[in-house]
Formats: sequence, structure tokens, C-alpha cells
Amino acid sequence: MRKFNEFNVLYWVYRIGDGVKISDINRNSRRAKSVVSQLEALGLVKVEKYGRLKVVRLTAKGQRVYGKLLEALWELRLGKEREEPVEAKVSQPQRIKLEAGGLPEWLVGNPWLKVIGERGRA
Amino acid sequence: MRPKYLQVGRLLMSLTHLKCLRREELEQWVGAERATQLLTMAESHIILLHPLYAELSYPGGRLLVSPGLTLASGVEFGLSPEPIKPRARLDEEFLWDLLVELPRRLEAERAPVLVEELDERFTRHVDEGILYALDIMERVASVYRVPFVVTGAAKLLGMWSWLHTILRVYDKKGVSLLLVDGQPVVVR
Repeated sequence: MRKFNEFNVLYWVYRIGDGVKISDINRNSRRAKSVVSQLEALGLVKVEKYGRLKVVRLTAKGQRVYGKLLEALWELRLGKEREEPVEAKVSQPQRIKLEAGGLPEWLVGNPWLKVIGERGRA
Repeated sequence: MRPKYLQVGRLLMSLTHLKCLRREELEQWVGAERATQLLTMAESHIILLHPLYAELSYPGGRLLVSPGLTLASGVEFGLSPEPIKPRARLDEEFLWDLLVELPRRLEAERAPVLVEELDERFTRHVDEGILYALDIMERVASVYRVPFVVTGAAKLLGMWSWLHTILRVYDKKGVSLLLVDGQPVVVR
């Protein structure tokens, strides 16, 4: 694969944003690795392993570039500068836990919870 | 290899969808033991989705809405990209649509979700229904990382912790004022 120009770099930083699976970069693993290695050489991304899953994430430098891109996009879309600086919030892969017991107060004794429970029963 | 879809009672459900459910809902559907198994599988499932943003244009301005719940009350607005809406209108059909059908549609096509006239969706236990619907929407918005825009009466404002609010209020003389995230805006 030929060397990236600045546009390619910005494109990939935007695309990676919050983190992507390496297979989402390109289904061809050699091409995906080539993209990642070029971005790694620029210090923009790192690869993290979660079991068998490899996730490409932005480094602090990558996040700074991503933040500036978001600022520019905001200005383009809304035609004005954002008052507060956009923080590139790069989230961890989500391991959202379901409520482990203890309903919020608005669901305690809520009759609709029972109705939905009955409806979903096998 | 872990299957992408699982049998949950009489429903076939993806691991991502499973993350939208509360333990109490699952326990009623499949029993405590199976619910624990399913929860364990759901917890180890990693979701990698970009947040989806929508642009809400109202008279006098535009707002970029992030994944989460936004309230629009008494104001006409446009939403881009084109939102999807729950198909069912009332009571348990509506709640079932939010909890079961809507996540399935979001798996096929991620889009902002527009829920109109939330305060008119229940024929009984109205406040409990609104709160349960908002609770489901918050979970779906968080898992699928899409914005929900909810419309309805101003009483909804105090019922939830909204990400954004656009509200039309009136003074004693009947002059209206638009409040966007609590700030008055000039309507041209």
C-alpha cells in the first residue's frame, strides 16, 4: 500500500474515532495491518487486545487530532465556532452491565414491568 | 464461537440487544437461572459502535444532539438524518415496541429515534408508563449510541434527566419564549 498523505491520515483518525475492531478497518487483514502500522508509525493509534479481539484506538496524540477534526466539523455543520472546546471522548469498549438487582425507584412496583414480563414469557 | 443471536424465552435476540434488558425483565421471561447465564454472556460481549449524532433544527437555530434523550416540547423542528419512529402507539404495545422491536430495527439501520407525544401513549398508569418508557429509551440509546428525541407536554421536563431540552413557554400575556437547554433564544 502506498504511503499515506495528510488527507488519508485525517480520514483514518476520524474513522477510528472511538476505537474500531481491526477487521472493521479492512476485511483483508494484510491491508488492515498496513493501515494500522502506518498510523502507529505516526504515533496516532495503538492496538489493544481483548481476548481474541483486537481493537485499534487513538493515542493521546490521535485524540488531539480527532478533537480538532470534531471542532472543524462542528463549525462546518453549524456555520459557527463552538463556544466550549470539543473534547475527543474516546470511550473504552463498552462492557455495559445490566442492573445487578435493585430497581430504580421509578420501576419499583411499576405495573408495566409486570405487563411486559408476562408478555415476554415463553 | 459464541453465537451472535440467542434464544431468550420465545424471542431470538442479539447479545447487543440483550444488554438493553434489565435483570428483572429477563427473570420474568426466562427464570432466574437462565437470566443469570444470559447476563454473564451479555456482560462479556463488547460493543464497538460510533456514536450517532443528529441535527435538530428549530425556528431560530440548530442543535447537534448526541446519543441520549432530548426533549422537544411545544416546538416544531426538523431532524436529520431521517429518524425512525416506534410503530406501536399505546400502552404495552408501545413499551414492547421500544424494548423489543426498536433495537432490532436499529441493528439493521442505525438512525435517530423520534418518539412523539409520549404523555399521550398510555391509557392507564400514565406516569408509571412514561417513566418506564423513558427508562427503556435511556438503555437503548446508551447501548446503540443513538439519539432519542421525545416530544410531549412540558410536564415531561421534570420527569427525567434530559440531555438536551427545547421548550416553548408562555408568559402571562401569552407571549412565547423558546428555551434551549434552559437558555432563551431569539426566534426570528
